[in-house]
Amino acid sequence: MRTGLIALKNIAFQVFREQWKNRFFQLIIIFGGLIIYAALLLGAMAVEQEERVLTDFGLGLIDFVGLAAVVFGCATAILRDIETKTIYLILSRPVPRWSYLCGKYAGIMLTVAAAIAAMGAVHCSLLLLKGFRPGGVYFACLGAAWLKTCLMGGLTVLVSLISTSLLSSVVISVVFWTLGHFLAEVRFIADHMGGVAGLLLKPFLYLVPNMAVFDMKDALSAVPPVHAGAGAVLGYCALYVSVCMAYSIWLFRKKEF
Amino acid sequence: MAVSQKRILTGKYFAIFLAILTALFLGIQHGVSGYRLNYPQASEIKSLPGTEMEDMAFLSLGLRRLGADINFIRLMQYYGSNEGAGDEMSEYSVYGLAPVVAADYEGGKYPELYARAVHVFSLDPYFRFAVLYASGALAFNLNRPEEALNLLYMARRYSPNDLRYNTYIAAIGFSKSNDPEKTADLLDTVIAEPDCPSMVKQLAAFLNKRIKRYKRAYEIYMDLYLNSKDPGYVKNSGEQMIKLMPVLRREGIPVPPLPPSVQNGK
Repeated sequence: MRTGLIALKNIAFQVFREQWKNRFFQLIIIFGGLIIYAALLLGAMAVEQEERVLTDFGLGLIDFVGLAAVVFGCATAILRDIETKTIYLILSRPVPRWSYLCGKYAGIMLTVAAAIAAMGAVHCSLLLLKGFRPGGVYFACLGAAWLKTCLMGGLTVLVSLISTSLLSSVVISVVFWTLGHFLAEVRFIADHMGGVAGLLLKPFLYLVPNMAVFDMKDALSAVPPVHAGAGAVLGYCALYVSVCMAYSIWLFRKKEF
Repeated sequence: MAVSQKRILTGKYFAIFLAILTALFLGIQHGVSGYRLNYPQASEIKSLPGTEMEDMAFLSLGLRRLGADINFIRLMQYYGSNEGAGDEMSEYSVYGLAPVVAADYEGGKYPELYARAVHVFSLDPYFRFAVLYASGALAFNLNRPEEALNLLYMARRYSPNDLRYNTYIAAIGFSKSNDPEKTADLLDTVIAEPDCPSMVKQLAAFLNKRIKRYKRAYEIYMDLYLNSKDPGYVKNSGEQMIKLMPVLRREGIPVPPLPPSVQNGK
């Protein structure tokens, strides 16, 4: 177990370094930073609501860029190793498969956390420069954005092991993300849908994550603020990721290279 | 005897672990499935023609608030534009040779204002500034108090404990019954809030001026001049203060002096 954990740590840091050097990843982060800067224009147009618009735009973008980074990172992580045959080198050593998989995941999540922190720092500086002081809610939203990406990361790793191509992994993951924001509506449709389609849709919805749990911004702006609570959000994310990773390990141990 | 790592991950222990985890997961998913925030559902969004796809995109990406922000900016641009600007177009307009029609910002009809406000509201029913801005414009500027009241009643349904909506509703009620004193009194409590739109403050100042409460009007204009972020309101409040100063002096009402920038005409 100890060897496995050491391998996990080494793989995670290796992935972290690799991801930062990845041109696509760098592009995503630069794009995110530039767009956050461009939000100044939108904020100026909102005149008296500049703070709200700047905050919403920045946080929304961080969310979105985080999703792009995590889905791309997780969908390519194993696929690239197979294509470049690096996986043979790693797995021919005494590295357990579970630590390889979890190491990859942990490395990507570490990278995304750093990316969110970097974009958050740019955004925060902009807000401070404009004379607005981001409060605790702002940082709670950043935390929720990272937890959301963690959940999507676990899901994408699982999907990438089931699906056959990079494109399908990305598409399926994004569909899950979208459905997660519409879960209440989709469930309503499923309840009122008859026949085979309804029967198939209902169990499928049990796999879709409820993204409303992570919508810290919306929850805290409601009057009075209603939220599931930090513990519940963390617990939900941890359970979802655990299930995805457990099934990924189960699938990965059967895979032949 | 210690169970080997390989056996844990490949044997029946792992299968049992997976089964327990799956059962727990399904239970939690069932519990979480009912969790939703108190926001209008997708089917309740009052999209404007042509914005349906955009609204769906905002909702599906979890950017509901940003959608409301962007549509509120559009609403302000719509209400801030000269309604008759495009009416006198001629073939010369294409070359920029047509005479420029002077902007007339007084009154106006702005028939889409209510629909646009409801659209913003359906995206984010807790966007208080947007509700106060739109209902103020509808009730006091465009003389459409019914639409303003509808908007405020909708807002109150989502925020029943927000007393500002009740005060605003009462102010519109008194305005309808031609009681400017009561309306001004009620608006006074609304404008004391930090997130009150400059437009509502200007309305309150105007109303106070009309009922000859010059000192209060001057104070509100001063507040607008010092705190508003909208250059239009700042300029207008400066001009109004200059106009009010001789009246106040004549009546012997002591008021704070004009800021130097107003005196210098900056």
